[in-house]
Amino acid sequence: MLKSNLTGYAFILPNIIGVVLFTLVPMLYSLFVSFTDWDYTKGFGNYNFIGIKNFIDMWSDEWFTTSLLNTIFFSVVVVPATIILALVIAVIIDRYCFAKLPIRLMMFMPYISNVVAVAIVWVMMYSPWGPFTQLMETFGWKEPPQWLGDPTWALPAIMLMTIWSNVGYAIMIYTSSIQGLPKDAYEAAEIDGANALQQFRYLTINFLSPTTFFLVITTFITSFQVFAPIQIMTRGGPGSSSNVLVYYIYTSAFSFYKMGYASAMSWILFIILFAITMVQWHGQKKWVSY
Amino acid sequence: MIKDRTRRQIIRIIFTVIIGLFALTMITPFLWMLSASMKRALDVMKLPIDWIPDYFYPDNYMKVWHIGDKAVRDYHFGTAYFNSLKVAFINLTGSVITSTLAGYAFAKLKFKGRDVLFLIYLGTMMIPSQVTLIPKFAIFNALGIKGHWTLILPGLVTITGTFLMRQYFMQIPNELRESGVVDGASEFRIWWNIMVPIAKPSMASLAMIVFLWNWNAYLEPLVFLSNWRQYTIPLALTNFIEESVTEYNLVMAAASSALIPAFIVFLLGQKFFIKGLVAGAVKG
Amino acid sequence: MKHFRIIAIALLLLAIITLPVVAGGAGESAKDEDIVTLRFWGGVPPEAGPQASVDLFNEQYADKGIRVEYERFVNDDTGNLKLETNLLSGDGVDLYMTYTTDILAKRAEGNMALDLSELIERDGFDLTQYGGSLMESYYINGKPYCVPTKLDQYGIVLNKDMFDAAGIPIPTEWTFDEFREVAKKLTHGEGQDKVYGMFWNSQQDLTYILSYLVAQTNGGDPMYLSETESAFTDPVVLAAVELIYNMMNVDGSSPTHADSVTQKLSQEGVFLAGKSAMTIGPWMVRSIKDLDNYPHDFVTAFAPYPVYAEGQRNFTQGGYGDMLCINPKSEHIEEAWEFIKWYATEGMLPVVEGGRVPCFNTYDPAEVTAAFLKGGEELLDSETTMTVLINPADNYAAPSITNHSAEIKRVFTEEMETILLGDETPAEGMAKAKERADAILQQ
Repeated sequence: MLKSNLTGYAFILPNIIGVVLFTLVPMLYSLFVSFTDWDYTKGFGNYNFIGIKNFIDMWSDEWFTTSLLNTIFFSVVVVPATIILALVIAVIIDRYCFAKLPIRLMMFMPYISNVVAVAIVWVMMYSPWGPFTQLMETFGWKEPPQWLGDPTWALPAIMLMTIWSNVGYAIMIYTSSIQGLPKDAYEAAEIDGANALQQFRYLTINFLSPTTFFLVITTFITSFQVFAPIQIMTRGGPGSSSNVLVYYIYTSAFSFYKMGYASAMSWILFIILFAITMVQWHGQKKWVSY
Repeated sequence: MIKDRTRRQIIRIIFTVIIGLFALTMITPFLWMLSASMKRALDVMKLPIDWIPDYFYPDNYMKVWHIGDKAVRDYHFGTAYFNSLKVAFINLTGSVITSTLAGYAFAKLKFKGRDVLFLIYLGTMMIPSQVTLIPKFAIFNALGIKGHWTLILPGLVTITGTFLMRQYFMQIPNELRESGVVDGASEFRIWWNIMVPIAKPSMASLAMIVFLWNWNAYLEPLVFLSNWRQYTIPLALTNFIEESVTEYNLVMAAASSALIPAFIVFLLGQKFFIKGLVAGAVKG
Repeated sequence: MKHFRIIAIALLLLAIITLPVVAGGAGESAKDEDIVTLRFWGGVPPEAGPQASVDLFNEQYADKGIRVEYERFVNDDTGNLKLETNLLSGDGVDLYMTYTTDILAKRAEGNMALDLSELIERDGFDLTQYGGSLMESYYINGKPYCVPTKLDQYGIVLNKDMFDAAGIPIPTEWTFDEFREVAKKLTHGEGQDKVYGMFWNSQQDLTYILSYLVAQTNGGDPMYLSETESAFTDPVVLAAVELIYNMMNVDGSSPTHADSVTQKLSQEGVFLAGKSAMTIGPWMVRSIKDLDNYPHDFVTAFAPYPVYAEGQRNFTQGGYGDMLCINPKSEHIEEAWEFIKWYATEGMLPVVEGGRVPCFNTYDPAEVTAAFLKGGEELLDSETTMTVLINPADNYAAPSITNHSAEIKRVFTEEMETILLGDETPAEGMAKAKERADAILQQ
């Protein structure tokens, strides 16, 4: 028994070392720092314990509340939009299209693209002479807004870009699940006279619910952590209209030098993500059928 | 019957066209990027958009890559390319090894505390990287760890990768391992001679995913890397925009240069890649 | 499985090739034992002068065994973070530039800048003998942590040909109102051919207006009334905000903020392309001389920034900048100090060509002017270059308050953007800015 224990530990040792050193220790350190007023320019030993002050102060900090609300708005739109779009497209491709693979690959390209490069390209897309603005004008939208230069539109513009870059991933995940769908159920439905829409409504959505559940959780987590597009495209502006939580954590840590405060906010982020996942985990029983 | 079939064919054609058009819009940004990267500065802003310029203008790429006389400033794109490849390949090799080892142990070996440990692993998967960013920054500074080590040391182990490999090994029948045990082979031998060969496709999938993560990583390099000698592609790109904001054609050439290799790697290995992503999703 | 083998082999090969590079990556310093190599970090692109300056030093000090390597960082939040990471981790930087006093204070207090008192006293290098009592404004807690090297004296950049054509003499004194009128007169055309009177360069920074327009009347701390109170509802601040708002949104005499942001407009792309008659910052002298990249044939002249009202020019806009600091953890403090002394007193001429005027009195003004105009004799108006940018004044407003400046600037910028985009009136926006800023200051 001892020997098999040791073998087991030997196998996971490299992994454990990595996780302990670069995840667990930093995690505890971060928790510790979040109860201090540490400013990294003052050196490593130089901090004061301030109890839960950071955790209290943030709720009266307009930047924090705005960025939190923006993040929630961002996720609440991006997650369902991405998933619904992906589900519909994945089903159509699977049932009705020729050239399935090339189409899927085309849609997948944004997902594998470097987010910095993509954000830069989209800044140009949204400029007054960019293709997106031109497209809107050909659709008859006279004088479209200055997307990234307009407080009302800056965040939605980034949301659209995020949906664009994530939908391919969701399509791929759905596609693989669709291929595992039980054919006989559909044949039976067809015999019963169910049309395509009804099959989609009553069979496909149901069968794919575990996948949907997985996608909801993962896209929620990633969209709550959106950072690079904000930093590159708007720096949280105009005003603070596109400031999001992670961008504010970054700003307070590295531009305002408030490491303790930033750490406290990152824990709030973790708690929110954890809570959302738990709620969905419990809620899944109502709509996920395995 | 025949009528029904032609009807289906027509529906298929219609949907293919619609979805095809949609797919085309999806890649419009890339097409526009390529087109702009081959134009002169002022033509980028010209309306209506000229999708295929009627001249060939490779100077943008030459400037970005610091080739020829017109390239005044060295943006160190080559260095960044090399750095990105280096970090990505080292992390990919490292994390495939550590994940395959630990994934196998978590799935097939019996040892004390295995399930508890695995649960802790699952828990840490949920911790956003932003939580550990600041402490890592502080710890690296305190220990004098700098440059690419700040990306490589944490990058050699990925929890998601471990999870992925564990899920894969879970579905391998136990008999396979037991045949090795009967032969009196050591656990490591069994792992190396029996498990690794059959896990190759999964390892390849994991490798592709890790490569892409590293190739596209932004926040951590942004905070940890401190000068152009260390910069990876995303940082070289942001640096590039800061220095030449006005020359959109150059910026687009730089963006194209950063994207094209990832596309090639992806198209070559898309089968493995998609398998990996899907494995993480469906079996998770 | 064939594919897999190819991929595996390729990966293995790459790993083998790259591993030694990683291992060797750390040891890139000190090849030659006898020569001390100093790492000098600055925010100016090397080709704008620093490289030439450093080369000159390396030539002159070759026999003394000191070499300087110039490294550029982008002077923004991220760039400064990178510099500070290097400073904190101990090596990688021997000496570096700091550009604003709030950051200087941070670095002095965080042991990232060396207290130069001893070196200065030992060598009799008293800063005030070179730059007057203004030098003392750049002390932190009464001690010198840097050597300011540059005169930050700026003015409105203007297209002389457009002024001549409109029959407007180049102003030597003007108020906000007069300035606004001039900009209006110089605006003409429509659509793609529109020429604006002024370009505010607002996508780059919105706090300029405080340091340029307001400081001339209110002094060196335009954002603050005191350590715990901000100045955003001050009539001069409000007038400056209204000036920009009106020019962008009422008169149409300058590109709007939204245009600037979405098209990433730059001074080069607007002013040098002949699309505006004036612009805010003369730090683009290098671009003015660069006809290859920015072809133009007009003469550029300069004028002082307009003031709030007649008789309100209490200070000359300006002060000292390009503050050279030594990393206290450097192993070559002596050599770094040697370089700083050389650079501040005689080494800056190549940088002057890029538009940076030295603040030490050790330079011959005629020589500085010649260097400033060099390569742009036909493109720069020599008289206003001298009077506005080069000849020093004796009544600069030096900053003294740095409390939470990063946050306060951010508050101002956010409200300013909201105002310029038309979602708040200037008065409302600045009232809100003051409320938010004061809350931060009184924490």
